[in-house]
Amino acid sequence: MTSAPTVVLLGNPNAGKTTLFNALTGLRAKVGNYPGITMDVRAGDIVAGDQRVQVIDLPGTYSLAPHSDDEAVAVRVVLGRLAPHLVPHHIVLVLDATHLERHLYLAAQLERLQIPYTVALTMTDTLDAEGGRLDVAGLAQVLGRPVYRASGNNPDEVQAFRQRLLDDVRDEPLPAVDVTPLWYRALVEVAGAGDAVGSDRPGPDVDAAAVAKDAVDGLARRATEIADQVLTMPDERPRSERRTDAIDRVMLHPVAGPMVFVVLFGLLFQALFTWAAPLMDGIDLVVGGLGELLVGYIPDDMPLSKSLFLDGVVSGVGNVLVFVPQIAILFLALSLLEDSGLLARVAFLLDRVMSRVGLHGRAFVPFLSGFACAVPAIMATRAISSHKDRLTTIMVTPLISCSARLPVYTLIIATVFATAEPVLGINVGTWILFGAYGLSVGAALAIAFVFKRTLLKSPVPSLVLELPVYRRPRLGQAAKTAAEKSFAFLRDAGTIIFAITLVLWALFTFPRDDAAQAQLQADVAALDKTAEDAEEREQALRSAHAAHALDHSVAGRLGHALEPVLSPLGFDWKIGVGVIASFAAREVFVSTMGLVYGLGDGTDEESVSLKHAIQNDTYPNGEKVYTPLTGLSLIVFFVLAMQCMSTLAATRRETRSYRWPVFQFAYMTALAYVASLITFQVGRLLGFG
Amino acid sequence: MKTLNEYLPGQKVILGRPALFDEVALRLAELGLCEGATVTITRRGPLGDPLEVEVKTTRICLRAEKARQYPADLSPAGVRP
Repeated sequence: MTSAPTVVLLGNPNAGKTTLFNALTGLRAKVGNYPGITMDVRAGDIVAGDQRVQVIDLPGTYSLAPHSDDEAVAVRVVLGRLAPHLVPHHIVLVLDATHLERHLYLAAQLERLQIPYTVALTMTDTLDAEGGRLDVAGLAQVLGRPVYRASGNNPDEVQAFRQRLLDDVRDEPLPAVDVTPLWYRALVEVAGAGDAVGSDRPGPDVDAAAVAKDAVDGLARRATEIADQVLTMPDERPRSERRTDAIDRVMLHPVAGPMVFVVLFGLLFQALFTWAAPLMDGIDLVVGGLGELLVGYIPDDMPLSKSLFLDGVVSGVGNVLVFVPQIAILFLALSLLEDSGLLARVAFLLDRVMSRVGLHGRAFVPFLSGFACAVPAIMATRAISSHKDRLTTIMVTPLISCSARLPVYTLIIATVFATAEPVLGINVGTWILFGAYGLSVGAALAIAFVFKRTLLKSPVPSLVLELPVYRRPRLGQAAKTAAEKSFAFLRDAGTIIFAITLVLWALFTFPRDDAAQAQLQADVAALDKTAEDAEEREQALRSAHAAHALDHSVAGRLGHALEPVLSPLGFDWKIGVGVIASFAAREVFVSTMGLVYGLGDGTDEESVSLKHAIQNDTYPNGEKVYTPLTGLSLIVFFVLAMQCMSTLAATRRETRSYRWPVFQFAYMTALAYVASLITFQVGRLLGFG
Repeated sequence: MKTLNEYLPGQKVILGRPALFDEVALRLAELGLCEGATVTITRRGPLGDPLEVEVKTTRICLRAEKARQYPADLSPAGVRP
């Protein structure tokens, strides 16, 4: 991997870098992991005969003085300061011909830092169509660098450019860049990127702001000078700009704009929430079916192996794969929105609201997706460029009530609030559901507000945002992004989810009560197989045994051990077991309660017998286990608690650390415990329950 | 002198030197909002903030609070039709 020469693609966001990267590398691209950076850097190969060149698609940057973490990655790679194995052999500067003057600012910086580069010109076809005339040879002459036309959507240009790369790339890496010039250090200082770039700070006697301002003015003048020499634009406003003006009159209209976005995001939400469901059910069905088929090969006298295979391995695979539809749908949609230019408009419209909390408009997408599932939502925080803002968003996103909590809410509402009198003519269950969602959003915003001012203290992100020209999004590129993200999730988070599933299986399986197992075998054997209700009776025996085995297992004992801690919240040991089991996925709480109450496997929230069992369960002193207050306390707990290993695995992947998921688990659990404790104890003092 | 924030959508202005050349001002300058640049105010966001301006076919958003730091003169080229 390190032996091939490395070509890096540098350029402004929206320069057409990614399209060119995809065209150059075809389907061979993959998301690379690099130590010390938390964002995905895409790498791909160009292979011709026995020659191989590694191409890296750097995050887009407007400047070599980075303002955000993703820009810093691009700049550090260009300067050869990111990692020893990531020193470029060749830098390609991607320039959008339709915005040449602004994009030449980067060229002026490279020139002044004496960094050698090759120019890849994109969008020249659009420029031609709009009547602009660009002297490509002249540009090469003024810059003193090779310039090639290389629009990603023009196969001939891509083919020729690929050949030029193979010819031009040399075996030795580029020499170290001298980052000592004062103008550059002043720019880096004002951009606040000293640590990232690693240049010395300008001395205390230097007015960094004044030096930086002069430097930018000079660089911008140089860019204008170059553009004026080689580019002639017609007087009339280019067609793509006029089209963008027209679309923005609707999209950014103070009334129509938000309405269009509500519809757009409503569709996205619907896709995540509803349309992904059949796909997820399909995955369950196929994985489960294959499991059933394969478990037949395990002999009947090896029940433990069968259980390990079905409840450990197969359900582990299912637990991992089940996230793929939502991840794929979300990233397909996000990629289309980003590519078309719509996502930048969302930030424009939402800046007022989101900056109140201290977050960027872009944090909206993870928040919204969080209502479906925190896993894809956390992966979608990639769009937030400030590291601390991104961490804040990751930390609070799991507080948003995801769809896996809904079965739990439903079960509790249907059992303990079923007979409650309507309040203000509205069903109590509706009020409670409404309250649960309100609490979750309120908690997420409040905790974000707190984190932004304490632990992850950082300024309210400045909204300096380019609203790019609208372009037709490319479905192929979006599909590729979706596939890459899904694959990266399977690779990085899948192992953890699979491993935890096995651990949970073991907790709920060991130690086994061999005597009870033998008794079950004997009882089943003794059943009169000809009796009409033989099947039911066998089922009843098995369910009773399952409840006993659960009680006997580590998880069951843990539930009992936790009872003193949980009883101030109004929970008994059975709820404790359910809470442990729901770490696999929150909805598992429901089926675990089914198991605990001896109703066997596969109970769902609609089950009448489960509702009855819960309603009629009493403590030894005759008090009901489930009062409305217990139900409320339990809902508060489920709103706030971190009970999802997959979310933790996603956090671990996105932060590239174990510290953050551990912290996330700890603060959410503490928050949930305290909130439930207050709910139950205050409720009792007020005479409820 | 009026600031960039005080002009109306459709007006074309010439930017002066910003009161504070900080990180945001640097980024704005890198996007083309330099001293002396001709800038068209395009529109305002819902409730008046942020502000969208255009400089050489690049659309840029900035908050009103930042726009207040830029002195600006009406450009002789006047109002874009």
